[in-house]
Amino acid sequence: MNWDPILFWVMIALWVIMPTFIVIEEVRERRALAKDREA
Amino acid sequence: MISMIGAAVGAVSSRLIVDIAMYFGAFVIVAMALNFQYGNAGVPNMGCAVQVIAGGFAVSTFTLRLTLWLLQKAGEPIRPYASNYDWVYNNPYNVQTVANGFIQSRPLFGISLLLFSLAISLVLGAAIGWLISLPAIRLRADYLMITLITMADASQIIARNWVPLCGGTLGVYVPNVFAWYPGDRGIITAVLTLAIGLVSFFIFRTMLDSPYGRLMRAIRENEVTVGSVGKNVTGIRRNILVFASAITALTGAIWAFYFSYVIDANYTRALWTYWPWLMLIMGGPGNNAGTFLGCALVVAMRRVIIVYKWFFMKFIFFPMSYFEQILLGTLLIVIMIFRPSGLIPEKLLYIPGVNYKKMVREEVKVDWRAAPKARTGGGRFKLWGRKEEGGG
Amino acid sequence: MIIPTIWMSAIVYACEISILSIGFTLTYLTAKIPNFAHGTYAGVGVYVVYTITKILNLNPYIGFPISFVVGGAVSVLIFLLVIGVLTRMGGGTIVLTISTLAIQIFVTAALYIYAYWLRAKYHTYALGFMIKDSDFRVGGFQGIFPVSILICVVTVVLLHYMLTRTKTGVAMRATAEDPELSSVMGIDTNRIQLFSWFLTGGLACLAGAMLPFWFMSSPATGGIIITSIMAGSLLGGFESIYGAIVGGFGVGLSEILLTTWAQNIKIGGERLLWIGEYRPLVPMFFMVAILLLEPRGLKGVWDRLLASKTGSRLIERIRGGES
Repeated sequence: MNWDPILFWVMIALWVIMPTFIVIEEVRERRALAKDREA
Repeated sequence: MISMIGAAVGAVSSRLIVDIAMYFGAFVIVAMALNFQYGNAGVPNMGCAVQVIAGGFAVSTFTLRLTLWLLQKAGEPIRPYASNYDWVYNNPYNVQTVANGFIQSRPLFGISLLLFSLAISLVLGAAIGWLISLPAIRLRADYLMITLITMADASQIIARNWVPLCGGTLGVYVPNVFAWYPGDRGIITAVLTLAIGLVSFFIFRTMLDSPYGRLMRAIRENEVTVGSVGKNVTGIRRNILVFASAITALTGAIWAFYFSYVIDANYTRALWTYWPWLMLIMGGPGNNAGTFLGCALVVAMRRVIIVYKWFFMKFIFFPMSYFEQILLGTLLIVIMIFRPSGLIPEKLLYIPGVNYKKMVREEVKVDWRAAPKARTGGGRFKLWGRKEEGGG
Repeated sequence: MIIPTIWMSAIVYACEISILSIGFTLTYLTAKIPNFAHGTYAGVGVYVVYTITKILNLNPYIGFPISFVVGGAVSVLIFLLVIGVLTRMGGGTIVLTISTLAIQIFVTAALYIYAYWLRAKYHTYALGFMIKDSDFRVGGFQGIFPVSILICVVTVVLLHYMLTRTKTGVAMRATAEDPELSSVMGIDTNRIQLFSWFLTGGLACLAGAMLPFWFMSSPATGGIIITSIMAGSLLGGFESIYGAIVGGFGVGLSEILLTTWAQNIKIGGERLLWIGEYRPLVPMFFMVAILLLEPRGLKGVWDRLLASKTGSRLIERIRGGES
């Protein structure tokens, strides 16, 4: 069974998880900060 | 169906993508560790190359010897490797024919070798981190940078000349721990790298969001105050250095497995100190998002330059690496002049539960153009947060 | 008088390193940052001399004043473009140091490109060379040997004279100690800064111009030599010019002499020839030792000696003898 393509997509998935996580977290934090600032 | 799409994509450009992923994964770990040391703790570690090369040594010294010894015990036809000469001379036969053939039929052995080398590189990295922190950790920023840079140089010279480490000028092949994998070795190494990158990202993130992270940032801003409160500043810095070293050494080990070859030229000061620093400063020290972005940009830039080499070679007559170095130097300077806090500047620390309204109301806007020239003293570690003075 | 070649080589090297260390310390005193690009100014000097000798076919010694001017110009240019801008923007020590590192990378790569251009245009091999054959001989020595000692001594004397007697020199020292107070006193700090950068760049280039006469040089020489320079400066005490002279000389001498003597040690009947490869480690070893033992270098030792009992007694006796 050809593992290569599967691993390829696993690699892409891993590669994408990190920035998604970072972006979600940053957006959440900055929104909370902005909310605190204007409150 | 998925595998067909995968195969189609794979056939076209997978080599390039895998390569990019591998470089990115390796450098993102180093850059995140560097961000941990410099962006958060204010320790300008110019000696990252030492930390990475420690991982490479772990593989070339310990894993290789262990494998050869085990294989000898198992009765495989290993040529002698006791003396330095034999060590290097018999190395290609020993590794490529015998060891790789052995691992090819025993995946468990390969994986356990991999885990072993990762563990050893963690230990060795921590030891090197402790070693380099010995003379340097009490020093001011500029002495620290000088010491660490010279240590990075020293490690490369030692690697090049002390044969038992990694074969001196010839380098040694290391067993391909993925020999049992029927497909492309690059892909599975890239997957491993990215997985380790993900894990270390979470580790760093947890440490940064914890009280320890706040402590690090406090030390970065004003270590005299922290010291007067009773914290052992030197000890904390040493811990940070040791911890970041350990994680950086993982990259060195993986790098060795990607090329299946350890030689000092793979771990040059330029590759593992200057580029990670460029990534850190371009992205913005102090937050992981910036590091990530910087890493992505730099890796993309380098790969694009290499792929389009034919285009550049029409205009320039010298090897590409010098062009890259000029680009590196120029970018570093330009970024520091025009956007010293990087592309994603550090934001105020978000601590759930703290009432920002009170603190933010008293924010003082400092216009640094009107402020007196900051020549000496004070601005030691403050290269960002100038506009946010009084906020956090 | 027969001087063994190894001593000659060590003395030439030591003179060059000591001039470079003086420049490095001077930069540290005036700009408050360690200038990692200092070694690459020497690299520029190497290539100026090479151009003059091999390309223009003139006497290499003409290259000395030319390299001084070129080095000063390059240094001033770099200051105006990079360091001045960053200082005015309020950059801290770390930002400036990183920028000098970037400059080092940039200039080294530029030197490589220049060497390749020379190769493409004039078909000479400029990537690793020595100009030994174009030198003159004086009484059995190669010409650079007395010349380098002469230049070193003259530099030290002139520098001392300039820094203590002339107005510009005193202004430089004042700006180094307290820039705001000196600008209040009427010193044009900008011009003094320009002048000090010109001076250090020119000195470094001059020292670099002396290198190819004896040692193999390449564009990477600047990057390699910076460790010896920093070690020399550190040995003498980072903030003392006289210390830099002694320190640079000491590091230069020991780098060559120690490695050669160590190679002659016999262990088990075999000479330790492999130690020669570790030559760059000698200045690093010095550096680490100094930082661990006495961070203020020789000057710190000197100060401590003066302040101690024997020292103060000695001073009293000298003073008592005078009055």
